[in-house]
Amino acid sequence: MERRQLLKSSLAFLGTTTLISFVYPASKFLIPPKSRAKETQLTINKDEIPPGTAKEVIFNETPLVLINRKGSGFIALSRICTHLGCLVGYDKFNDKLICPCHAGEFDLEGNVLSGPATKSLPRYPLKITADQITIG
Amino acid sequence: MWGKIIHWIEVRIGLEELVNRHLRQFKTPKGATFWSTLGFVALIAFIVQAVTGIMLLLYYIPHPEHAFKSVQTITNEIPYGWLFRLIHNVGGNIIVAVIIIHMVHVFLRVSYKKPREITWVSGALMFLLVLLACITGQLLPWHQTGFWQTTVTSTIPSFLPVIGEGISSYMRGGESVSGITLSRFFSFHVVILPVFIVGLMLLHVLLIRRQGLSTSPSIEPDAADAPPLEEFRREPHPDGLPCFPQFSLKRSFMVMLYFTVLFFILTFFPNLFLPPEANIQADPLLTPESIRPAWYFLAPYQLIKTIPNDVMGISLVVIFSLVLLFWPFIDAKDAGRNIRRRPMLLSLGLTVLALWAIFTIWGMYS
Repeated sequence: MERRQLLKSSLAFLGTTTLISFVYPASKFLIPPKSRAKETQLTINKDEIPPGTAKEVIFNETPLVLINRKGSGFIALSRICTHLGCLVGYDKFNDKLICPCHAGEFDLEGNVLSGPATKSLPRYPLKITADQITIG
Repeated sequence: MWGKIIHWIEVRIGLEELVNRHLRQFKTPKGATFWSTLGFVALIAFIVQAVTGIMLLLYYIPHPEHAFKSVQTITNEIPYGWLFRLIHNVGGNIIVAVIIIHMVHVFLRVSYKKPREITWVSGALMFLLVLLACITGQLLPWHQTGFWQTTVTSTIPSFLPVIGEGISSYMRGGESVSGITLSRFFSFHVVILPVFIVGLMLLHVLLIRRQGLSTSPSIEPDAADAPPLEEFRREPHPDGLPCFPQFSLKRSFMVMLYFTVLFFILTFFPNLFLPPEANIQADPLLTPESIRPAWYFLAPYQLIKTIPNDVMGISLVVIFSLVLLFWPFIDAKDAGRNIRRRPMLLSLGLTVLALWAIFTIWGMYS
């Protein structure tokens, strides 16, 4: 190998190594840290949510809506619309959940009724006692 | 494949022509040594500060309640966050050292003489702005060291009669260091000062490109023999070596040396510029036992401490800064550039350097 070629190859190798040494930590640096929020339970008094009403809560950093459906009991659904992530709101007059961004509609089981969303709203497990409801 | 890509870029950008015109045809004078590359090293060091600073901005929160925690998160939780924080911290100190050595070299070569007065002034102004960037940057992590260093720094101008209180209040945005001070220092550190520094840097580089690098005084003929400079004249150095590849290799070596020093400190002395108080959140009601400024401020700090009259101490520092800034206009006589033939100038330069070193060491141990 000629001396000039050796020098060029060495420079290319060193340059690439240097670049990777910077790009690798830089790309790792851009990954956000995992949330340190602990998996906890959230307990709410039943009398805070009369039949036909809903309560918006934050559970482990996720916005949820806890609905007391007439005749069907309690259900906890994620408020994050499965279309583009806006927060859905409870429409007590029509018994459905509506996304204000693109008019997506969900029933009180979280299933899509209309609009651009294709997936149902995630449902959260509940433990119901005589006076209280526990999410998680 | 690689050749095709290079050709594709070459046809559109003309890199070869660019390199030829700006690097191969740009000649460096005989006697251009490794010392002559320090300006370029300072430029690279500034770019390193800018890149790491932008990266830290992705997670830093400039609010008194969140700033310390966000910096701790960067250091302890974000992958490689410690690396970028330390590079920014250590790099900030190295850039000051590089600029000081660069300025001493330019002074000893008397390269600030006509027609390079503006080059010196722009460089000296850049140095002062870099120091300001260091002052504003030390508060941002909202730790005890930075908080109390800022308290002391922003109190010093208040000793000046008439305008002193106004300057202090302007710096802090109030009576004491608070969230408003943090917002101010943040905007100065991140936007205002870098914009001015980059502007001055462009002017500095433009002047060097227009005038050519200054020749070593030991090679240049005496001023008495040279024709008087009455119109713009570029120094093309026809007998010098091309900037690329010869001088560029010297630059590359010095840039590698800069990175070597940076990573040596990072590896073996990571806390060199982070005292223990830098790991404690700022407490406005508790002054740490020992608060000292950064090493490059130790000399003026000790000078102000030593002189019993505060106004006189601060005035001396201000006068020294102004003399440094406008030195080419103070030493404007046509006395030639060889400092060995100017014992007074040489003695003055060495005395100032010696005093600076003495006051720095004194400040460190006082």
